[in-house]
Amino acid sequence: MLLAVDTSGATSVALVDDAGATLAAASSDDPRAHAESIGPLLLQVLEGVDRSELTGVAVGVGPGPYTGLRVGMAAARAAAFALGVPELPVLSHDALALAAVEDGATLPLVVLTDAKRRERFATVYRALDAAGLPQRDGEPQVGPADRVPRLPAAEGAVDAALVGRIAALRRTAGLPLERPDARYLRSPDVTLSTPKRVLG
Amino acid sequence: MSGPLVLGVETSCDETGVGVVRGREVLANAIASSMDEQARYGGVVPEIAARAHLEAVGPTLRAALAEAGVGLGDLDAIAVTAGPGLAGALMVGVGAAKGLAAATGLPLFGVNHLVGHVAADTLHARGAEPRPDGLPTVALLVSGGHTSLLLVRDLLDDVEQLGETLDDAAGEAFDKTARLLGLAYPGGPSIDRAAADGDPSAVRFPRGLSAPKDRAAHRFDFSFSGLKTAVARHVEQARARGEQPATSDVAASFREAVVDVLVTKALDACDATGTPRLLLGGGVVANRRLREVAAARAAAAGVALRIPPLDLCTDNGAMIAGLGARLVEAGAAPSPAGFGVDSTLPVALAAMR
Ligand SMILES: [Zn+2]
Repeated sequence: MLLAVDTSGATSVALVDDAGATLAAASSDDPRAHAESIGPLLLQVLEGVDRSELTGVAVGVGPGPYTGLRVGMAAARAAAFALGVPELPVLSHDALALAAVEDGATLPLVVLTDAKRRERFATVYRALDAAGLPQRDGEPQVGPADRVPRLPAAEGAVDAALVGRIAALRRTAGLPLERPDARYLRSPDVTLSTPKRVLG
Repeated sequence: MSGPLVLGVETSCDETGVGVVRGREVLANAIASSMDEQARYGGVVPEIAARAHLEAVGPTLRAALAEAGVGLGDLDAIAVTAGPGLAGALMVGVGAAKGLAAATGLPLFGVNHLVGHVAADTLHARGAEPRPDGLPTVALLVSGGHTSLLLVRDLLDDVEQLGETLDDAAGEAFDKTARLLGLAYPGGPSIDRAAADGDPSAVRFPRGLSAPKDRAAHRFDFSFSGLKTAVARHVEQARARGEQPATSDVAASFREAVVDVLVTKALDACDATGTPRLLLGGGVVANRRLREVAAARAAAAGVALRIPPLDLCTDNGAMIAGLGARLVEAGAAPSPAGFGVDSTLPVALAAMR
């Protein structure tokens, strides 16, 4: 059984079995409340669950808006450490590609998500891998909305249950793990911190 | 050994800190800093700090538990800084702490960073004698992120903010002035080195918000932007005259102005509130001149000065764990699972509720 977390867009938490079937799922759409939401959602999904039955923590590593993305990654990393199980990184776009394919879309397709500043994160999928999951063609890119690859597009919010399913199916198929790093795809903005005032 | 066993996570600025305390005894205080990455920018870049926290939080957690010789299963509670601080940086710690709490079922307290600095004074090293209680006290908390003057009667429910900086934090003023003088980041130590053989009375730089007219509204507030501008003007004027500004004299005079205004206002707060104790906290306490001047003037004023060891003055996880332990001892309810970060969390709130 895997715990799965993704905060690359919304805040999504799920529990899946070793075959990737969803056992529990909870999410919040508020794009500015990842730090708030992650606690109640984790507790909700884990309620009544024997922690010793968890064998991994799947986590979406983006791309996605950084501040929110990091909340889920930090929570998943810490939970994996606390449970003594491996962290299983999954590219968040892989879950959107899987959602599209399960919804009847055909490959090739491009997964698009909002990268702010009138840009999009884009990842192209052309084939299925050994686990029968959409396999990306190259790494995700960030760029202007009008210059994304001209392919049928899949968009939407990432469902942690699919992040969990991908991790479970890849593990069963013996496929290698994704890199654990957050996919920022941009250098950090070098804006010095503004002075903080503590009012009241 | 007694008291609750608590793990504390601190990520409000550029240090990733994880500490473990049992009651008031520090069992571990692990720190990772992104200061080296910030150095090329001459100040803390929030996005760089937040990225570094995500990288460092796992290893720092491991290091702290190993140092303490305890497992997560032994803990009574977890505490994490919820504010004040840089929002994106705070969220990494809060995310990690919520992950730990959900996986272990432990109670979680989202706590106040500034009150944590005050709690640092109650802690003692492993095996050392407990420190006598130092309350009530005036607390002067100075770092790159904050400059606050507090009156603390009770750690958990009676902390009053007397004043704070209206613009730059004192540590930031050191960083910006260092950059102006062509000295390295962080500014505190590099200005200290440059000031070593300088004359602190060479230039009379302004003491912000110290004029009689400021007494009514800003008696205990600070402002360092005018000082920074005065240093810039002094350096430019020297260069315009074709002279090389005397860096050591400027550094010493700048440092004297900062230290003077900090200590003067802190002791004035002791006097005004009838509090014969002053606690120093925050990374700027590393500045030896500040400690010297504070010690001499506090002694002259009959005020007992308390300065925790330096590793408990700079941002750290042990102070957060220490505050968490006090909350557990007091029977406080854990923070609700849905608490968020608050970059301007007021000191009156020791913990999110
Ligand atoms: Zn601090």
